[in-house]
Amino acid sequence: MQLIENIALAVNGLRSNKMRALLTMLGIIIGIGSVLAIVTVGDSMTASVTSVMNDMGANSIQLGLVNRPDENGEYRGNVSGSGSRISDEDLITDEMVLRYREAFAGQIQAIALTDYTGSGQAKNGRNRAVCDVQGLNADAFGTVNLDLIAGHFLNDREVEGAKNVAVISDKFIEKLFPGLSPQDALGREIKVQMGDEIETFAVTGVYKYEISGMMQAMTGDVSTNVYIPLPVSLKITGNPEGYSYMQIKAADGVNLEQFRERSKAFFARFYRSNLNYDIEAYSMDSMIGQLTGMLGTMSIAIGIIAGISLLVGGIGVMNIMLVSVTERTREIGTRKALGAKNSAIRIQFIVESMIICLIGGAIGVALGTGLGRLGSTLLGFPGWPSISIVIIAVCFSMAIGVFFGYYPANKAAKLDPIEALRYE
Amino acid sequence: MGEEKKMSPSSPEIAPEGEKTIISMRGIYKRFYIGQPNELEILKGIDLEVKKGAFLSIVGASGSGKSTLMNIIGALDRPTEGAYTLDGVEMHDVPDRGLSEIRNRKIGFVFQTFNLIPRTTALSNVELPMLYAGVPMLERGRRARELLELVGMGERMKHMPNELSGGQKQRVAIARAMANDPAIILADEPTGALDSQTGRLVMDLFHTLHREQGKTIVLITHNPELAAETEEIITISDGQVIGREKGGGALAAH
Repeated sequence: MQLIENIALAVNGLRSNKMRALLTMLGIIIGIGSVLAIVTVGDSMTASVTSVMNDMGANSIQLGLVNRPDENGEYRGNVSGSGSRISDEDLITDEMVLRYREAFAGQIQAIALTDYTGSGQAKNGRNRAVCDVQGLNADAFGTVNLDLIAGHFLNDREVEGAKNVAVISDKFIEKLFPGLSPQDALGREIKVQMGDEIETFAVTGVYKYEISGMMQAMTGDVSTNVYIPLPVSLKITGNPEGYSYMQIKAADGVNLEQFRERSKAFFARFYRSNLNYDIEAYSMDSMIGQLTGMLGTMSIAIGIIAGISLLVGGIGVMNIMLVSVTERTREIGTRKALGAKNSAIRIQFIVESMIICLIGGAIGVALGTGLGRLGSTLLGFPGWPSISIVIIAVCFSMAIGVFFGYYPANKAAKLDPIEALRYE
Repeated sequence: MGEEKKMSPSSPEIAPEGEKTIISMRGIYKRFYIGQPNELEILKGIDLEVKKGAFLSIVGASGSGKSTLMNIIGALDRPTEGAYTLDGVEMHDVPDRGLSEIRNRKIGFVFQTFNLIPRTTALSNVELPMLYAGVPMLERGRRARELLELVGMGERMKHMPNELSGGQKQRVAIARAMANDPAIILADEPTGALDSQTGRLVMDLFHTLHREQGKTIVLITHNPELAAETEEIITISDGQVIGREKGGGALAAH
């Protein structure tokens, strides 16, 4: 019953002191808002990355070279950096892959081998299209998850025969041959300039370009992938016949974790005495696990920052409540003279503190939702905060109100009415 | 009830049959800083008896102890020594936590500085003691309106205290004091912050309440003229009752 009056009273008090109330709430607003924004972005990122990874193949593993630290714990080699290259003798050879295929016969569905040819530019009169050229073996198409809309993917004959053919995107066609349908693009020749060389490929397939999340923010001059047979790529790049990375798709019904362990162990034998490189293998599960772990660490860090912000905010609320109690000493004295019990005074001030924090929390939720929406949209995975996190945030802000309001409220409740009435 | 307790020699005459005693004080002492070198005795054996329906004034210079006496009468404070019975309740037996309920039910305070709760309408101010008494909302509103009508503030129920003049504030405060139909209205210099004309109106209101509603009113003042209007004037000096005389109000009433 008195609760309604207390709430009305608190709201009245805040209304008459808007600026002060807002400044008091600021800590709570920032604390709750930042937590909500970051959780929203993190959640939608995890969801999106997980779905992307699942698209790539839930029963795939990635296997590749990793730097091996020397005896001082320093890394000498370089897998992906532009500085030094992996020397020829360190790469995984066709020989190893062949033996692997034999050893794991029946368990392997496909081994995707890739070679990054380089970025290039195709020209057709005044039309240009930028692209990233990649060499693939025929198996690799099973793992890249493309939506083919015309023609066919590179087949074994084309790959082994090192034919100058390419699979390109509809976006690429749109840029290079405006108005041309994917079907009509088949068989057309495209000239791609990479460095000083110009390579010519015949189009055998067209896939539908999908804007991936991360790229959405930069939709200016999109570079789409052009897939060419692996031997052609190796010829262009001059790369040795070896691989630093491959994706292996396990056959159905294979225990993926076991498969990953064994595959890693198989290749690791070749690198036992290699000082520079070792083998590492990841499954989607382990990568998702790693990502989740990373986000978890991030969440803890954010949580600590938010916790500090809320603590500071809470102290601010306590401070302003103490000021309020002092300012209203006479009122408290009057209320006591009129028969307010200590508990009634205490509840009045706790409710007031709670209302401050609740409003702050609500503003924080609105702010956090907005920022979270903005952030997740910019990163390409638009998301909303979950209802549960909103409820937790609001409850938590109220708990802050009770916790930091208790001391001032208790101080008010314990005031001597005679002293309080005499207070000037 | 304290009536059976032994009476001090200076006790007033026993109330006639049928007249209920509202306040009964016997040998009230109040000391501060007890046991310390600066121990201070403010009240030195006060005896006081107030009948139901009386209009009494307590006068005394500042420092005479009348404020301390008022605090004890108003259950804001306890005597160091002595027995105080308020409307049948032996105050000595009331625990500290129970004092707020005594104030709520049995005493209606009217302060010199009005002490209306700021940013709260006149109506809500009058409802406040009933709120603390747990009176249901509709009943609170009904009674508060009634009381505001009674003190002539029916037109300004929704006004905030800062929209009211001093005299209007005091009338709201008087309505508030009567909210729970208390045993006594305890008015501490109720005209002290008002000009004489407005003060006159407030005093008239007290007389009306006394006459028409049969309210028991204890007026604390240092103004002998105001005191003279009441039925009985108790003069306090140096913590003791030094005078007890009939006032004009009593003459007029009889």
